[in-house]
Amino acid sequence: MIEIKNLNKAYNGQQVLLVDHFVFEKGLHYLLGPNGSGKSTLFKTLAGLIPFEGEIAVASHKSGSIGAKTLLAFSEAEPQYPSTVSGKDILYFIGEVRKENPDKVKELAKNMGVDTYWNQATATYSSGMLKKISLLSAFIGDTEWVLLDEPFILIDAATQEILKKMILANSQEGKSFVISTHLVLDLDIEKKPKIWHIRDAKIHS
Amino acid sequence: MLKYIVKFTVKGLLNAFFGKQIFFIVLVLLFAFGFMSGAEHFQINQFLSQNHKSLFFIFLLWIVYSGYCLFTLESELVLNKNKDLFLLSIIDQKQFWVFSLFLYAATHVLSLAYGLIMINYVIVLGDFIFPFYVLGFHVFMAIAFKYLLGLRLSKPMHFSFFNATQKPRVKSFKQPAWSFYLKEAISNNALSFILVKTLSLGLVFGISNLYLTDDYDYRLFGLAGLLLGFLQFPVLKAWFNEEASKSYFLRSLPLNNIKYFMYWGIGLVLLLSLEFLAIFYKSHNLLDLSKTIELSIFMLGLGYFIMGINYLNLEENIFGQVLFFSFVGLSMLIMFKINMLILGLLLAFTAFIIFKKKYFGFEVGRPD
Repeated sequence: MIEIKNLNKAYNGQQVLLVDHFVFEKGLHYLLGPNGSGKSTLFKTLAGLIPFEGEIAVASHKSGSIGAKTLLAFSEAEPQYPSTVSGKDILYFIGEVRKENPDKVKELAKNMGVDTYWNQATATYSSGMLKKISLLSAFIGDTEWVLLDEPFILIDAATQEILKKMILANSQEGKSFVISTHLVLDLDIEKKPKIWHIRDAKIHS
Repeated sequence: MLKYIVKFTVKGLLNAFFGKQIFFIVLVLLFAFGFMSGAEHFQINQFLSQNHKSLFFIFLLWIVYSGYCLFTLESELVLNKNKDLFLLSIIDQKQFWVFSLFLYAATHVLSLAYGLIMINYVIVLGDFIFPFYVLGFHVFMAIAFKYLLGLRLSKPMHFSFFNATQKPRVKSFKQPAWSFYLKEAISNNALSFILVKTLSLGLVFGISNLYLTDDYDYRLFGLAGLLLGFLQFPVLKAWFNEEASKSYFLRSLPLNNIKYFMYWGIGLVLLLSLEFLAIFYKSHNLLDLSKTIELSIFMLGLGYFIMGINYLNLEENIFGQVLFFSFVGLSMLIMFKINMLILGLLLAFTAFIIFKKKYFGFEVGRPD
């Protein structure tokens, strides 16, 4: 589980997150909220990418620690990568770090149609192509948690369908997801997904 | 894994250098000076100063750079076009290209003039007051271009940071939305512009006060340091832009040490390019040891200072704060006896940045 205690995050005096106590139990979670409500900020705090006040633990590992990062994969809403590096290098690098079989990385890339362009430097990619690299990276390795920030934006309908199948398959295999979205999927999984709303800097059911 | 790390680092480093090719060439040229013998050095200096060719030499470098910029205007415009789509949706294509060309050209020419005047007065003539007037004039020109004509000097035509609540009512370039530009002036570009130029000035004062002597070797060294300092800005800026916004994928991986390597590895190489020069000079007995150490620490501190301002989220990063103030403090301690002005400038600069970050949201991020 991911446990949040006394989370306090503000930008320039503007309160974005103020969460006393909250727990993401294992399973599929949807995070809904209007633009600017703090969804991406919450993801970044969970992934340990930005500083914040309070405590976040991923299966008792402090957020941002090696242990937490080993258990958790994150895909940004609008990803960016070093422009000179190819998508293939990025994905294989992540594969090595997360101890994934290179053949599996290749298979994932082929499945999502990334392998048709991944030899080029990321500077030549469209935003949709970058998004696919980012989404794919979140499925590499044996992580317990996958955080997907607005996974259905920027990608075409066919890729959306592929992504839905990947989420379904990985959920059935026991991976947990936190997905920020405006589109709640109707997935055929045993455990009913939880839907959370971010309002007034707090997480509501 | 190491293969990819090396690949990312080398590509990032090369990209930062070759992103500003002409600066890279200048860097190589300046390194070449370090390899000259003392006698050759003296001869060159004597020739430049006795024949009043110092200015010409610098002028030549800047001309090469401005010429390069002017000749590559079109590719620069094409590269930046995506950032200006907002503007393209308002005005017609032809008007856009004409204004863009004019602005980019004007930017480079004015930048060239600024550099020339500064270098002339500070290094060649040794006048430390006039640069302030030049700075004032430069800032005035920037404000005039941007706020009176509605045009941008330091980053022409890049309106990508506009947000919805401040969307300008641009009817034509001669009728800017005054309230918008005023807000912009306070919150964004003009302050950064002034701050960067002020820091450049600090660099000029630091190096020229140290090395403006009758010894021509020292003078040339000061000149080299000054130019290196100037060229470090775009190189570092390219690196910051490249890395800071594109490293989330790396930071989300379980790779603590690698993260720092990637962050600092490239940046330190860029910073240490100044150090390399100092070492080359020392190795050829053009500087005594104490001067070399002073200069090294000063440059490292200054470089770290620039990195800290640009990169570290100082308000929230205690580790960064400790490192930042340690390095700056150390360099200031050594420089203190030499130049109080630098200390004052840097402290004022720090206070201003913190003030700006606190009240105007400078690079702190945004909720999504």
